[in-house]
Amino acid sequence: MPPPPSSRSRRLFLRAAFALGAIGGTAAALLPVLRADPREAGPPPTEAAGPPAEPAEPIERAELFDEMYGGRHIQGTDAGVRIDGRPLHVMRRADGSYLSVVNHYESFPTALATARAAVDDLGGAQLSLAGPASH
Amino acid sequence: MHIRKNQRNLTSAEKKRFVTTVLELKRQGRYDEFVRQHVQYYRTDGDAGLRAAHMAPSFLPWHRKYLLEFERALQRIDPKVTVPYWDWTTDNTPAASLWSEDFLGGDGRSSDGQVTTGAFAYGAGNWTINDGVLERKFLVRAFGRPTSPIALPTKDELAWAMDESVYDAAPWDSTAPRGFRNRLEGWTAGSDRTRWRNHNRVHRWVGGQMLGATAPHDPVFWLHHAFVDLLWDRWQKKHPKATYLPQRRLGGDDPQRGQAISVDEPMPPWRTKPSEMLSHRSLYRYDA
Ligand SMILES: [Cu+2]
Repeated sequence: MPPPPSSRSRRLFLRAAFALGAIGGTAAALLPVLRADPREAGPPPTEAAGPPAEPAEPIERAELFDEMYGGRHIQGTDAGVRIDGRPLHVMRRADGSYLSVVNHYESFPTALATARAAVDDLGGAQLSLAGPASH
Repeated sequence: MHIRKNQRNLTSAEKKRFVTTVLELKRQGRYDEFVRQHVQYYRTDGDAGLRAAHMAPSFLPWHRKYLLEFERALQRIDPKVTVPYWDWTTDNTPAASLWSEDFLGGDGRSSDGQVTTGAFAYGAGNWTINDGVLERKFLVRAFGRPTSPIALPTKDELAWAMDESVYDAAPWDSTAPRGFRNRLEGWTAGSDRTRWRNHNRVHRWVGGQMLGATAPHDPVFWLHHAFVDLLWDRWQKKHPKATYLPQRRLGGDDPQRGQAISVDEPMPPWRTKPSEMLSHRSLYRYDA
């Protein structure tokens, strides 16, 4: 059985956030608040044999964000990604990109891009407060 | 032995039989168990642990077994029912009969994406979605992603996958640089409009629940995956010497050991091995 969703999401996000800073042009341009906690880092991401859009290089910082997008409040916090205060479950790919529970069949270079894409695809729907049971 | 047919060739009686049986499975609560199972086994390759269903060589045998279990559940209700397939390279517009009132219903409305036609429309009263992911309870579709339009995969794009002579390749995940499995599953690079290929692009094109973790909430999931299953057959015919890979359990120093399933390792939750799913010919056939 997987651990309860909140701790699992949090762990995944922290690990993801640590590996992330690296990933992106867009993230850097948005001047994210930077923080680091190397103890939370998982194993290094698998070398991407496919062609990810951005080069990955080790960097000890994470992307946090807080903005209005499409009329929704999106946040990347050290507790995970939220839309209107509700948890958006995110997962990582081996190339460092993200999927969310709303988009399982494409991926996005940053947590911010993932949150924005989820807003686009939610069509105004609210995430459940509990989050998906099995994630 | 039963036959899985191209959805475009179904008689209206066959469509009705399929729809009615799916609704009955839903009424019994069994349908939602299949949805939960899909969510449970969707593990991505950025995480540790066994990946049985996606981003892995066992993507094809896992879904073959999953569809077979679903079809058997339908057949316990009506022994004559089979899962049809949707060839999205041919029936590639919202006008396809697949989406008509008497079969799966059509696109979602623009305001909230809600499907309002056919037997799976929320308003018809038999298809309530309650899975703890979103608060909305209705089936949603957004054909072709209206905010930034994309098309269904073309025959050429599919041929690009079918021409690949190797089944799968290290690192056996969504970054595998070659291999039929990843090209068909669709985790490959490109521009925003092209990078989600074949199987993934179809999920993207339909939108709504089909795009998310709970994709099987949309009954088109089964028709889509039945075609993917048929494509595996066609690929085997085209490359008769090719085998499932990896053929052996990955070695102790392989980073994918314990994550990617080789041909004779069991796939959860059934403990079926890929080697038992390499051919379906003793179980069912396709009409093409
Ligand atoms: Cu699929």
